[in-house]
Amino acid sequence: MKNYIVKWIKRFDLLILVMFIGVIQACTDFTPLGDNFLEKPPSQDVTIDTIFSRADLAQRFLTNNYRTLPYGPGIVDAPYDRDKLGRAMLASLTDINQSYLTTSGANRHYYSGSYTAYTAQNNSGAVKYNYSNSGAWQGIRGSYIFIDNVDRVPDMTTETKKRLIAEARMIIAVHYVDMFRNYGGMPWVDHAYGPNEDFELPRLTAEATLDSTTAMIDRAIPDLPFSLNNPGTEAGRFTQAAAMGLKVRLLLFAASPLFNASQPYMEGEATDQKLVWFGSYDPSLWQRAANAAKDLINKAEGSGYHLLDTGNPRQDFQDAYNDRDSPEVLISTRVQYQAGGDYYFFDLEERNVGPVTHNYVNMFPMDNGKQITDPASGYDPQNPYQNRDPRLYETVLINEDIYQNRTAETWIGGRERLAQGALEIATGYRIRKFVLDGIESRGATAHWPLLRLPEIYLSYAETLNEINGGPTPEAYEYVNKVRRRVDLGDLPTGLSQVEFREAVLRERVLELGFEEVRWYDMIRWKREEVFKKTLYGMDITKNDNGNFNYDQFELPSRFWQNNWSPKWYLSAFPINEILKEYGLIQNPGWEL
Amino acid sequence: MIRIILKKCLSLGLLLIWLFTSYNTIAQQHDGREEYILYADTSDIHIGYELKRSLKELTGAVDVIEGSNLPKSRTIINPANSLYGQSAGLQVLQNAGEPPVSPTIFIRGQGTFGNNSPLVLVDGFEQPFDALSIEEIENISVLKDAPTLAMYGQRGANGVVLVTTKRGKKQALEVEVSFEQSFTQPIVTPNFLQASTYAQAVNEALQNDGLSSRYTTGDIEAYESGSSPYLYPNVDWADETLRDLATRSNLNFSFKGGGEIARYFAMVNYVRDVGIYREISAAEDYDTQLKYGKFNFRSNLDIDITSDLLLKINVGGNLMEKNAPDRGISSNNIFGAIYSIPSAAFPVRTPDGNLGGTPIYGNNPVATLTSTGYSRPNEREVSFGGTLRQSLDKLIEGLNVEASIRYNNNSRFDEGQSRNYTYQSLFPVRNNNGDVVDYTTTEYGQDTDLNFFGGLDSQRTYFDIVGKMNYERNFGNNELKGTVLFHQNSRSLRGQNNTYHGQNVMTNLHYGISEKYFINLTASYNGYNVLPAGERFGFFPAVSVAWMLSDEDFLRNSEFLDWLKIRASWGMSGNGADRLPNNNYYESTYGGGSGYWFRNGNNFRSGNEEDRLGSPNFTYATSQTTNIGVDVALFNKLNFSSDLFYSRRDNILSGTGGGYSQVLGINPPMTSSGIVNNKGIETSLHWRDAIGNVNYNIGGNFSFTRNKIEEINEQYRPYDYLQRTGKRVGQFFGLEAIGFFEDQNEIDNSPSQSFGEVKPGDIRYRDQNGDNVINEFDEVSLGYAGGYPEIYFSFSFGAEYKGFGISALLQGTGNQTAFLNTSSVFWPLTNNNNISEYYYDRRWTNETMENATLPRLTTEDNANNFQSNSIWLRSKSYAKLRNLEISYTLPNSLDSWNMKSLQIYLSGRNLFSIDNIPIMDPEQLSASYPLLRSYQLGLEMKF
Repeated sequence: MKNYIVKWIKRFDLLILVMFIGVIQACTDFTPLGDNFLEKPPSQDVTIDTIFSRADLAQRFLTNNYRTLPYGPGIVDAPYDRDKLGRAMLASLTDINQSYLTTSGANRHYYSGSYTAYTAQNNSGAVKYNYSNSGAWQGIRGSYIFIDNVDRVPDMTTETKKRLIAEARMIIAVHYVDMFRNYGGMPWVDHAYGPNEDFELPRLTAEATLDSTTAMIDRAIPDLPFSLNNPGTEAGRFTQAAAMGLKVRLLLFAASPLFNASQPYMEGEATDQKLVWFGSYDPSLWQRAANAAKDLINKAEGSGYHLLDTGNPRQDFQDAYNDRDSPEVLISTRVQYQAGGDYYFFDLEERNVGPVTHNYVNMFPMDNGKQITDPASGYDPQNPYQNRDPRLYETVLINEDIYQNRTAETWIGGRERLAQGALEIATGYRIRKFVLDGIESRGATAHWPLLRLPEIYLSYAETLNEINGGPTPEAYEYVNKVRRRVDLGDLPTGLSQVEFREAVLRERVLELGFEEVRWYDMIRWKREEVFKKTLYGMDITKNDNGNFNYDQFELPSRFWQNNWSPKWYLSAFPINEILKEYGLIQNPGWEL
Repeated sequence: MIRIILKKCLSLGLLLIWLFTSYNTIAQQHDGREEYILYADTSDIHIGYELKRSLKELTGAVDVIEGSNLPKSRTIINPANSLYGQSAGLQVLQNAGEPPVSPTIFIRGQGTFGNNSPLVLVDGFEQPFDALSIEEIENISVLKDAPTLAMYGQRGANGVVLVTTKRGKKQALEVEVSFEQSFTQPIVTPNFLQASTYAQAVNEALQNDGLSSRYTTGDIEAYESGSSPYLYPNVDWADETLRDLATRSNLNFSFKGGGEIARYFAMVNYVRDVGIYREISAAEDYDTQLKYGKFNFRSNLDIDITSDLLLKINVGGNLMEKNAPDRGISSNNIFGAIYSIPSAAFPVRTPDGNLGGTPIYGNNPVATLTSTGYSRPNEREVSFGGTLRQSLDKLIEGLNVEASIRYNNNSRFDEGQSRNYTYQSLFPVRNNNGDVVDYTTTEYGQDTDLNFFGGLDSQRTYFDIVGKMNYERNFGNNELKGTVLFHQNSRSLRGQNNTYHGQNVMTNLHYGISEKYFINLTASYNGYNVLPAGERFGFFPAVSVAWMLSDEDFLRNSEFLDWLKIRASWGMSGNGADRLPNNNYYESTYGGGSGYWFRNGNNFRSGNEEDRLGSPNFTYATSQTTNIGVDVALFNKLNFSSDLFYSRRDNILSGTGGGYSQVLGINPPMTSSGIVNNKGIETSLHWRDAIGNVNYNIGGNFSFTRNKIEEINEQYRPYDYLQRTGKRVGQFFGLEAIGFFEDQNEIDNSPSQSFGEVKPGDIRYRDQNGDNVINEFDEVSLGYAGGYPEIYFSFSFGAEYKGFGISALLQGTGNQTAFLNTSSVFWPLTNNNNISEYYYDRRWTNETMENATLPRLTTEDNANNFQSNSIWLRSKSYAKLRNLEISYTLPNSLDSWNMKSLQIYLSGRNLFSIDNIPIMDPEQLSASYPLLRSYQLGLEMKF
């Protein structure tokens, strides 16, 4: 019996062993042994090679970089810059708009004067230009990756590649133009850096940054179609006109006294190193800006770009900035198809960001073209909103104008201003541009008019005035062109250089209000007095007899009105970037 | 090529084993020996890789938890819940009440700011705790210091929990049958305001915000009187959706025994939980009660194929099935709705019988629970392990070789039907006097039919192969034990880039001199596929010594000193590689990006982007641990053990945003450059004695750990006090509150608080840097960390008298901070949330400003108040009575029933808690399935 068991065990033993070998063999079929074991198992990884192996994927890669472009006010669901100014507008820092959103960056950091290089450090700092998360560095990196790799795409024509590379260069240029206007000279990125490369770049001088950016635009210009052949499918893409227009914006800013002067706007190490000015006054910069504008103007007329003028001034003006098909928009950026939700000013207006200053309303002339201060203008203080520049009614919600198919009531107790303390209209006026009919306009198609033809006309007029020591007939012509579209009378002739300059700057804020033009006009001309200006609101009360009383009142003062420093012209670099010690030199006044 | 060679080698090796086997079988015949006892006495302590040491031989810090000593709570579902306070180095934190009730486990606190989870091994191989039932656990070793952790190379640094399952012995069949019935209830549920008080609170908040009231006096009176329950409801949502008691039960059969050749342990266990939701008689023909059933099984066999060849087969696994509301509805959604919907919001059902709801509150808790459909997830796990051990005594005395494989698969399927529901709002119609005369209704949402869904949810596969050679021999009074092994392990999860492969070559050498002096050397060479090629392997050595002082001549004859031993160790282990979210961290990846609206129609063009820049310089984290310990036994009654340790973790994977220029344009790659050190002490003290016929024991465990971040690629911070470096991992930072603003005058004369408009009753903060502005740079470190306590302790007590037994376990924590930011409970009203009685009673008003401890009511996103600050940070410390048990074991008069023993017991878990947070449980501060108190009645029979 015992022997039998032992025998049985012996066989069992062999059986087990064979089974065991079998199991091991089976398992090793699933799991490799040895060195292979530590190799990465196959997977469908998307690498740079995948992206640039097909035209559609490469196109998508460029599309993602378009998404980094600036789009005006910060919105919530944007991939970049989602908290720009804490949902206030750049206009909130100018004399045309006053934010009552206490949590906004405008209120917290600028009105209070608490903005410092520390504020700039915080990524959610709600500042006017976010060094880290504006999308600039991301867009620049992505664009270089595209430029350096698109050659590998097999199923794309050389023509298309050239054009798309030019578009990528434009994305880089748009970001550099904005950084130049907010900081001055910037570190220049010339390719997408790898993790082991040294990318700790110091700032270039303002002049070198200007030259590099201009060169970037100049390289893009020849490879772009002047205007879109198929707007139906291509709208939103960069054109040659867009590139030439961006160059005008850049050169005009560079020619202006902030950087182009015999004296710097402020002393500091950045000034010593010519990072925030050119070191001397160079009148030829005005000529370069004028030439760039003239080049575009000559080519634009007859090539599809023109001011929208169908004879209905208010609708024309609205369509001009708001319509995606507008013939005068040179650069249109789009984060969403429709306005609504967190997109655009609808949200801003509800969040108490939209109150407009009485100062701005007063800048709009009578429809005969005369300023309201002109005794001959026909202005009636008891009926102040009658017969004004049509753009006033399209830019600001004005009492008794047609609004939501009814009459607007902006008096205290009226439908638009239920109480004096109603914050969304705390100044007595509220933004109408972009907002249109407020909640009833939700769902309208929307875009951001990053650059429009009227800006080029007005820039051209401005350069002529500077070059020639006074306005030339051509200079008048281009300002009046903009005015005539809304049936406004011409500028009076015989203006001095200074008077004409003021007239052009005023025309710019009237035509391009809330389009992020005013702030840069204020800083490039070093308009300290505009920063210091007392701002007013308007209390309208309705009498029992149906007449209105108008009482102007002072708005809460901003820190810089009484504590002015020219440091506010440019932004501070985030303190943590400075202290990474790769050569970023802080802008004047923001040093610690 | 190498693969083929290895395969051949393996086959050849097995062939050799077989040859020796045959030889031994023949030898055995000559020998005439019939017994081969593999296992020595149970005092053998597992130290990893199935190596064992006696208590005397042990040189490292290892805690042993005997399964038989665990509280007799069979309805805990996840056995990890029985480990509170059981070991001085093991910190178990309860954080869930919903089955499978998985607690968080740490060993020796927090040694890294990366992943800190210990490695849990069941019978030598990685497997999560919740796959087991408590009945199958023989014992648990907690490995805490280098000599044992170094064996696990890149996986060891966070500590290792070794679970050993029960095995059979040579004995007659022993059958154990047990049944336990448990009743559970939430430890604490917050109370929210009645409708009329709620309405007053909202009006007060609006008034504080400078806005007009929402409720008229008439409204408030109507809420108060309840005269119009549809238009002015007062709903206790918790009462509508939850019942008072939930139930759990457990039934277990286990069989144990063995003969000459084979020994076995087999078990089947079924645990069932029926949840806390109220059975609501809805029109629906499905049930959404939370039901959880888990069937566990195990069969462990030891077969002596010959006297020298042992085969071990472990098969274990479980089947789980669950019933719950729709898969999109978690218990967090349901409790979130119960907590956040005010009593005054809407009635449960409108007069038409429709579910109530409003555009603001679309998530009627009753509807969320009953009308969204149901899901029936089920999960299966099976684990197969086989080990073949061949003794080569005949060749070289004390030599044996061993080969093991383990295959484990867990998959989870989800199946069910979901639907949408209609809810209805009522709007009052008023006459000219403002009195409500009628109402109108509006319906939202849409009733839909049940819609089937189903499919594989998740899957996980482990596969391990181990080849091992052991040598063990005594030379006179000296002993030598040595092991060399090769281990190849893999873990694959569902989806790609989720496969983790490791290889480990480990050697361990133990030498004992005169049973008094012991030295242990360990080294492993361990690599992972997650690391870049060429950088995959690391070397982890450790050395440890022990001195058995009480066996020295000068102490041997001591009357009171039974045992005195000192231990010291140093060594390295690693962490991190296999815990990364993907296995291709060193590669740059591209993926879907943001799109753009080219064209003028509604045409969205999607985009691609660079997701991640590969991390070229990354490796595993390395830990170096030094430990000294002492074990003392006195008077044959007192045991004392204490360990001091210091460990330093280098190369922790750490973000580098703080160091690189932003011009890179993408998140810079992570680098392995973080450093954390961690030090601490553990002590345990146990006293066991008898007074007359009463046997009793009292004891306690205590541990204190403190860590410090030495390097975290810290971004620049303008003030030293803002630095994370030098602080503990997870340290809370916040503003220091210095009371509430009494009036506008005080606000005007204080530093400006830059988070938004400040009103009287808002929190006033200390200006730490004296710049007269309160902003994020005034944040200081406050309290401790949130995720783990520095102090962890327990007290236990037990007594037995003539079959009557009582035992109790109290467990507590210290030096941990809670952030009380639960909406509705601690942060009320904003975002239309509810408000708790707790908050209402403590809020700031003009009248209560003397005694108020919480800021004014507000309906706005008050960024000034609702952020990390000392008002919301509170000590999270607690002491909880984890277990109290009374049992009676019937005298041996049961022989006539063929029963060896019969025990009945009554027990309670989480019966009370002493803590600083009255309205919620400090271990659960979110709106989620509550932590439970429970009462058990159990019966245990042995045949």
